[in-house]
Order: sequence, then structure tokens, then C-alpha cells
Amino acid sequence: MVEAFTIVLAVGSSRHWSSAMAGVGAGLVALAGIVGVAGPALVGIPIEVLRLIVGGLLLIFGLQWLRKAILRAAGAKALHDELAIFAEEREAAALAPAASGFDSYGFAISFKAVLLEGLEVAFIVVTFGANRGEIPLAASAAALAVALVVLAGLAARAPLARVPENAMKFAVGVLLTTFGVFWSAEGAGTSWPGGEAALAPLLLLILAASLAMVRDLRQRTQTAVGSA
Amino acid sequence: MIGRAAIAVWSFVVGEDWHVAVAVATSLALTALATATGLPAWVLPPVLVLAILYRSVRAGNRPAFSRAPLGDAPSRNIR
Repeated sequence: MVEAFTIVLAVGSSRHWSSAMAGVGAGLVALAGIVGVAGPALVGIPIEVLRLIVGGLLLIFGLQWLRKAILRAAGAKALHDELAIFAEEREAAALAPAASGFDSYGFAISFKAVLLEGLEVAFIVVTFGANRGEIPLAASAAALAVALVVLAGLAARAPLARVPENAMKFAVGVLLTTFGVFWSAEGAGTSWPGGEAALAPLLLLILAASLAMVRDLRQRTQTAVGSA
Repeated sequence: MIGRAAIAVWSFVVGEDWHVAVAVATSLALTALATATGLPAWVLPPVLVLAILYRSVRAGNRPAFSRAPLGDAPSRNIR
């Protein structure tokens, strides 16, 4: 959501705030619709099947996040740079044709940013919420997180460049992968020793292995650059 | 329209490396098979998932693993 905030800020400040905010509103309504439709549909599925499907999807999704986070942490992929994104979006907004009334460019860019960035949040809300039968609670927590990002942005009146976004994405990748492994294995019929208490050592294992991969990749990258 | 939506969902969930999705599905099938035969199958998922992650990370940065001379610096895409 930090990136969506940056894009909306860039579009709103360089074009029309009203159109950008209309795009944000439309994006949030679309996201609420997705959660509202997908959530209840998933809750009706038997828990074992649900855990297999949701755990598997969460695992695939989490592994993609963790892979990117490891590559970024090792310096093999560029870090997320909110100031660069802000400058790039402002430049693109300035080059787009000017609008006298409703600014369709500002609306479309804001809508797309909120929808695409928010889909990741909606996915996590639906999967975690459905697994625990607590979609309203998960959705409320996500709404609170969005509100915090907006409040921090309003206070800063600038892109949230100091939010440790890469570290947060690394942590989220570890969490998604951990819960994905746990639930998908249960869905496949396995019982974990100690039940839910197995989550803690599982999380530590995935975290330690991920950090080891960062260290290994960093050394390999330095060696490869050195020998080039 | 439906085709485009399916492609969008696929790229959203599966992402850049489709091998991960295939490997995850295979690992879950192996886990279910091991469970059905009465083995302590809980050991399998963490081991397999870490192997999948390692392979995916390697695939994401081949130059570092192949030790081939680098033509460019590491990728600098902003997003």
C-alpha cells in the first residue's frame, strides 16, 4: 500500500486531486467487492479442502514474495525506492495530456495503483480470514493498516521513503510461506507435532534458511562481480 | 475477456517463476502420498519448500551461480 500511496501522491500533486481521489475510492470499492465475494465463497468449502487450496496458494504467493525479498536483500535486485517511483510517476503525469474537467488519466492511474497493490492485501485477508473463519476481523485489520499508511503519509506530506518496506516484505514473505506450509500440509492430511505450536519452529527454520540464502547469494554476487 | 482475466489471475498468483507452482503442487502430492502410507509426512513440506525456494532464488540470479562474467550490473528495475 506504500507504493499505491506514492503513486496517488504523485498523480494528485501533479494533476487533479479530485480525480486521483475518485480513482482511490473506486479502487477501494473494487477491493471490498473482491473480499466480499471471495471470502464467503471460500468459507463454505470443507476445512481440509480449504486448507489444501488456500495453503497451497499462500505458499506459492509467499515463495514469490520471499524470493524477491531475498534477491533484494542480497543486492541482486534493486531495492524498492519510493522517491524514484514518485519522480517517475510525476514525470509520466506531467507528460500525459492535460484535462480541463474530469482527469481520466489521474483517475485511471490511481485506480490501477490501489487495485493492483491492494489485491495482495485482499489475497492475504481472504486466505487468512477464510482459514480461521474470521474474514471481518482480517478485513478490519487490513483497513486499519491502510488507514495507518494514509495517516503517516498525510503527516509526512511526502512519499514514505523511510518506511523499511523491503524488510517488511521479507518478514511478510517468511510469514506467508510459514502459514502456507503449515496449512497446505494439514490439508494434505498431515498432523504437525504439537499442533499449532509447530508454527514457531517452522517460522524460525524458514527465516534462518532465507537469511542463509541472502548471505550465500551476496557472497556469490560479489565473487561473480569480482571475477568479471 | 475471460481469457485475459485468467491470465491476470495466473500472473498475480504464480508470478515470474511458474516452476514454483508446479513444484509446490508436486510437493503437496508427495506429502499426501506419504501420509497415506503412514509415514511421518510432516518432515517433507518444510524440506521440499526450502529446496523450491533455493532453486527459485538461483533461477532469479543465474550469473551469481554460474560465475559467468557479468555483462551488466544486477538488475535495476524499480518495482
